[in-house]
Amino acid sequence: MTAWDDEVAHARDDLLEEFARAGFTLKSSVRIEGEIPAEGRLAPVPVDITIPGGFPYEPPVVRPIEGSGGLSWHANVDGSLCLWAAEESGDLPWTHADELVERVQAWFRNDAAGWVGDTPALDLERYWPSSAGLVLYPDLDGIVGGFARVKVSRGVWRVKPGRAPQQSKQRLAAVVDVGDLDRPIRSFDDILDRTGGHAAKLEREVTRGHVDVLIVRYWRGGRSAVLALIVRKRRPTELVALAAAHDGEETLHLRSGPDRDTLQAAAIAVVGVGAIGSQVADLLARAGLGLLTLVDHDIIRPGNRIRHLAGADWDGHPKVDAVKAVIDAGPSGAVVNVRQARVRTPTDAADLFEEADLVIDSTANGLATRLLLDAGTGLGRPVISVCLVRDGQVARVDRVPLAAGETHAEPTAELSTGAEPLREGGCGDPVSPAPMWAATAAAARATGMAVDLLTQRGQYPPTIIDVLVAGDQDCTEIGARP
Amino acid sequence: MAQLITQWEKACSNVEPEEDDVDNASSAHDEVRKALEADPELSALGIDTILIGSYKRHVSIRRVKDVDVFSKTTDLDMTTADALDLFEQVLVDAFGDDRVERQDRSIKVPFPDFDLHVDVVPARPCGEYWEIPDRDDEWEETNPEELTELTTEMNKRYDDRYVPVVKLVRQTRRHNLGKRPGGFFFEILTYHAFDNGLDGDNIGELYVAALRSIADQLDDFVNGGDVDDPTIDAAVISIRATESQKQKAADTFSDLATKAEEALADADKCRAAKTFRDILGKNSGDNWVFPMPAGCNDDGTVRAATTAVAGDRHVPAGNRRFA
Repeated sequence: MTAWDDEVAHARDDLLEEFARAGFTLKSSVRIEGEIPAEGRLAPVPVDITIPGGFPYEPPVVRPIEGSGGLSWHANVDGSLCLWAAEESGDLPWTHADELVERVQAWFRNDAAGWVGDTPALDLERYWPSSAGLVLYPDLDGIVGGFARVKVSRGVWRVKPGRAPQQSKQRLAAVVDVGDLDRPIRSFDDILDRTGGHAAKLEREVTRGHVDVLIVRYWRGGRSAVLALIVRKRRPTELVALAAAHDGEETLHLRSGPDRDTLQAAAIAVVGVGAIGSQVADLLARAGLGLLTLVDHDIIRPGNRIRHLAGADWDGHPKVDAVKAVIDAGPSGAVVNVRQARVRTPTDAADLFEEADLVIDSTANGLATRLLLDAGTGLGRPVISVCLVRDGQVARVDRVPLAAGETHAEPTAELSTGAEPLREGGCGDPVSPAPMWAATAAAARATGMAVDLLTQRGQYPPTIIDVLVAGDQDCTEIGARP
Repeated sequence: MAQLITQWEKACSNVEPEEDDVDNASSAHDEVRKALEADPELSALGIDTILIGSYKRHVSIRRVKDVDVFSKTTDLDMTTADALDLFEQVLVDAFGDDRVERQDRSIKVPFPDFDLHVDVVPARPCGEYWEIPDRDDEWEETNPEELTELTTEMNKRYDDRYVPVVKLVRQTRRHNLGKRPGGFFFEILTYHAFDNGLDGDNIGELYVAALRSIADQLDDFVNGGDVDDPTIDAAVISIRATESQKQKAADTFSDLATKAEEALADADKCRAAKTFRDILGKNSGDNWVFPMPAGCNDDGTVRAATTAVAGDRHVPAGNRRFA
């Protein structure tokens, strides 16, 4: 037994002893019975407490005996109480008997008060028997009260947009809205009770086998969610809940970030879509960027792919086409234009600003970088340059133009003990030994600076030096600095 | 008082026969039963063999050393000596001379590869009971199937806690006394303890209460009282133990019951665990039956610098994290 095993065993033993001292009955090392006084109830509530095998990393399960817990929110289908939110679980708030009893008492108090002020959980499926699988549903506004077609493939039920005729040969989903809920709905009868005039028709279509899926939209606290139920049996009707997810634009972009609205109206040109540039382009698209122009003359070679978004299908093809394809296939919705070209002349550089609010240089080419930074400074238009230095140990991002009083940091000192440069046939310049994670770190910094510029927050200094691997000279400490 | 629930559960599993033993016992008794039932003379006598004994009642403790095969017949109208002769011959024919041992009341067939033996007991009907050979070459009444049923019922009555406590009592006897009185006697005493009603919500509490009841029964026994045979009306249990052995058993169990009661009431779980460990001793694998709780030294003292909870209670990044 390791010291950790000892501690884990100790936690269980201590909890059991605490409950024994508090007057609970220990039926075994996993089961405790007792009574917990509850405000608003005439008598203490008898409860059964199970301590799972993973304790203290799994919370005890508390179940009022004989249904005395009620059928309110925050109770699971097996009658156990949902006592802790996921975000507080890291503190293991259940390792002492008094903590657990207090939490149960709080549950009963809230239950008696009707969960006033409760952040409404939109997880009705917890109150139903469940099955594996996922139901994807479109925007529902046009189809509530009607039927929609459903296709099933490998456990994923996809509800198609648009109303379907009732007499369709395909699988059908019935879409209903049960309104604002003050308590969970737990049965087909509960659903029928809340569908008003549609109840009889809905019941008929389900029991006759015309409907395979029920999409039940409900509301809590002004927000809507969907309970997706598969008809497992027609008579008597047995429904099981599957996980449900909205497959529409709003959901696809829900996690884009808080700057999406601003970025949607913006345009960026990314010059150089290699290891860093391809990721910058993808990150910007996912953050909500409206228009992206990709500029690169080069093609994908197999050696590029270990650090690139492109897969093997793109060997020999332009990098810009590969990156566009990856972004187009993703969820972002960004419009992506491509130019398979070099940026060689001041005109080339100036042209970029016709369609872009910001240009990002991720060429790692000295001449191109010089041209683009001078264009930015000279034209008074924002340019960000990103690269990895010191063999990939340091990411560096610089912006122009500089505001009054600003200066860039000095060039980062070269590694004093550099390894023999890597070479690849057909490629004149040395190959950077930087791994993809270093390119990702650099891309993240450049994207952060780009978003900072477009949102005008102005928090980023003109240079960010991010030491990813500590080394010598002025790069001895991990972390980012101006 | 320290409950030591986890430790009691582990103690029960530490006296449980191991899987190999159970498989071997099963194999051995099958072989013997087949040999008996295949014999034409015994078949003509209506031979019907059943398992009895501690193995059958699931009250054996590690290790399983013997299995009892109760050989019912429809008619054994002969002396016990003749009956034993008959069974001995059948078994010699099946297993060879050197593998069969005649005992006072049974025929023993050792299985050296399994380190156990099978005891074959001839039996004939006697009204609602059976008769088997006694040590005086006479037939005596017995009702072994009834004890199996009584065990099952008692176990049900006490939510499956009776059988584990019987095993713990047998282990206690084995660790603290000599050969006699034997485990069967203590099983009967435990039965009476439970039948008279014991207070306890878990194994530990029931075990301690059983020890006290057994100590009281032994005290009564050595002072001339009888221990009823729960399987036969108006019958009492008789045992092959000297007065000195009986007195030692009574004194020892009285002392153990007192120590166990003090340990049960002790809030110091390490000290309490040490007492129970000393009472139960080691199993046949030379391992302590009663484990010490986490945070306790083997001598019953508290181990220094034990954290109460696994690890730091707070995650470094705080609670609102996403990935």
